Amino acid sequence: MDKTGQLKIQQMVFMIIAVALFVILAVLFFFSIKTANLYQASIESERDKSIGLVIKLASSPEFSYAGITNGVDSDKLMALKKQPEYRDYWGVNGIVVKKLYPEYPNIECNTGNYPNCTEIILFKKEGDIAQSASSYISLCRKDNTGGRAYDKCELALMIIQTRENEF
Amino acid sequence: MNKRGFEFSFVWLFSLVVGTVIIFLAIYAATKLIGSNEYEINTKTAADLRNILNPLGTSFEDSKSEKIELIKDTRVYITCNSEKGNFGENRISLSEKSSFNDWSELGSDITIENQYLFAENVIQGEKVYFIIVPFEMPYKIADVMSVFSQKYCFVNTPEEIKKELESLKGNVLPFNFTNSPSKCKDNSISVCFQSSGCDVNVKGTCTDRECKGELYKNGFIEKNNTQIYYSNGLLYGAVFSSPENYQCNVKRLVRKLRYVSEVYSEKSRLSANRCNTGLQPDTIFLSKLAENYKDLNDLRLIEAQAEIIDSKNKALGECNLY
Repeated sequence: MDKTGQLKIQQMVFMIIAVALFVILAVLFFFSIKTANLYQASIESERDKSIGLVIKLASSPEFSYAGITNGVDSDKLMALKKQPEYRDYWGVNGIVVKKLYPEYPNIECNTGNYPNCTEIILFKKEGDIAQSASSYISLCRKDNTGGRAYDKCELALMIIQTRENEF
Repeated sequence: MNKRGFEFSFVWLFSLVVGTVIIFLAIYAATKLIGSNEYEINTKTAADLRNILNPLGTSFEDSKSEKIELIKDTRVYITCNSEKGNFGENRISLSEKSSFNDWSELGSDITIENQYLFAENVIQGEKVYFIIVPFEMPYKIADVMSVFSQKYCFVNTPEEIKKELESLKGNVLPFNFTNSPSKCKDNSISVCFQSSGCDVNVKGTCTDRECKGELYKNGFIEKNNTQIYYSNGLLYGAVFSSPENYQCNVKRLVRKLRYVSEVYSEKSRLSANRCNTGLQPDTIFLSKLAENYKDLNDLRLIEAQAEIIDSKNKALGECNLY
């Protein structure tokens, strides 16, 4: 083979390598954008799930207080604190209920101080900076004055810590 | 004129081979890309479907119905596993009809732990219908979500059930009521009450005092040559689901009954000094019965204990447990 032929082959090989590199880079660029979009979609999906959940959680059997719209039973919440089985049931990282009104100093509820406390933490992932969804609720329990039972309700906020990357 | 003809040099041969390889790789990559795109879309749609199930649940209402319209003809695959974790799970995965009149690659399955989807193993259509009924034993445990896409024809429907189905139907559900299976359209699934000859036959057996004249409060459903027991709140779930799906989801519901009963038992203990219900032993017993549940035959025992709790709770007046 003469020198011109060899030169042509070299040119061709260089060209093919250049084209291949360009294609590889383009494909990598395309997939990085696609992956970023997918990650964003998964975050949005989880957020949508949490928003849907926080709206409906107050009326779920484990939370609801009979006869009060958007009423959450604080006795049930205290009972749920003792049930680790529910930790993964709602697919969220944390559920916290904070009393807002009347105002009290912030005290976390436990079996010793309940019901004289303000914050019921069902479970919570420490150091989690994920987005959260919240909803105002009526935090209710049965109480009695003079031997007569009545529904005692206080304004509270239910906060849900979103779980990320479930896909 | 040059008689040597076309010179097929090495350069030509080389470029032809490499060109073929490049074109082949490009076609292969494009096909894979379309496939992964369909997989992504199907997975995303399944996740979206899961997300809209949460707000569908009932609050204080008895029952409700919904319709979801999908963009394309879609197959929804629904599976149930009663043994996974503490509460079992449903899984949904989707496949849309692609432009080439073929079914696209099935998307990844999405897990649903906190909903109970009573359905056939595969649902196909552009419209998906939901009937949501609370399951109470005796307090609310969860929502029974019946999911279907086919038309249903109800034959000799008892007045009470017809009234409920008609109010659920509205402009949403594809239901038809007749007095003979032969009057049902060919593409619809027929459901007979207290008679045979339909795709689904419902036999009410509730004649006890507690049934208050509601013959269909519990009974049996005959479907796919299988007879399955249903009780209060499970009738529609049994009609619209496959027998395997029904048995699995009922097991999941009973597993939840166990934990909800524990919550009520603890609530009863916690509120004893403010409002003593005295129902703690009964709720603990119900929880134990639920824990020992094996199959649909055990549902009757659970029902009996639930009746006892319900009557005691009603007698408590303002200090009731639920």
